Amino acid sequence: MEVEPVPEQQNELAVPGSGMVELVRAVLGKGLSFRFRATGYSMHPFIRNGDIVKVAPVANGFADVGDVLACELPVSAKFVVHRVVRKNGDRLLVQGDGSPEPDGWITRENILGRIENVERDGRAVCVGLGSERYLIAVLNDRRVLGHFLSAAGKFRSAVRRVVR
Amino acid sequence: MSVGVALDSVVVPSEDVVARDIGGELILVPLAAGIGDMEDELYALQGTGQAIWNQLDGKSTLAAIVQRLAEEYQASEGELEGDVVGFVQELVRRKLIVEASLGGG
Repeated sequence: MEVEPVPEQQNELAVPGSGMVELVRAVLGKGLSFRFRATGYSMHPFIRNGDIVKVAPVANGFADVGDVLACELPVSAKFVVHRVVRKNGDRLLVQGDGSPEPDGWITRENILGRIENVERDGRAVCVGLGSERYLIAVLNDRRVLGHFLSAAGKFRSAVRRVVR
Repeated sequence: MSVGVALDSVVVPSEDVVARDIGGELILVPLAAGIGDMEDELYALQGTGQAIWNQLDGKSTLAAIVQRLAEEYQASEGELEGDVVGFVQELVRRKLIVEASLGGG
């Protein structure tokens, strides 16, 4: 009988969403962080399919607008890594940066942890979790994040052309 | 590397492992340096591997576990002994389980 680790490329396939909730809860319940590969495009461009994210426990379940949370959606029980775009008392509205609509309201019981950092191709991704996170949340809540990113992309392309 | 495990050994899951039954598989996530890292190592146990893991209560010797599994699977103890010891050796080598006296979960 052999014991071999699940190959890296199969990790995301080995644990279904509901299983991720259990694993993340179990690890963070010990006060530790959890590192895993994100799948999907709902947080594009700040977290991309295949990026490695590290989620850490949230003290007293406290989170604020702009934070990117790992959470279990209350109705669908789906595991998501999405951003808080609005806060109303103890309730938080979460939405993917690349999603057209919010997922709905969550409470602190649905929060598994907060994303601490993101790695892409072995390097830390700097944009999306710093002080700019509040602006990203507000723009997405007002449904203008896509326009803003598109304009920013065009600006960058224009600058590159000028520099060349 | 050979690890000293015998039929009179008593072993227990390490405190540095989180194990969860997910979709019929036992998923093991080792915890190292204050982090559970699915990108580092992730193990999935099925069938008899899962059955052996579930018997690791920190009290039973491997001989007792072999006896129970032999009854459960209607196999001879002689057939199972090598498999169980080999499997446990591998888990010890990977630090997923430890000798009970060393303190596990």
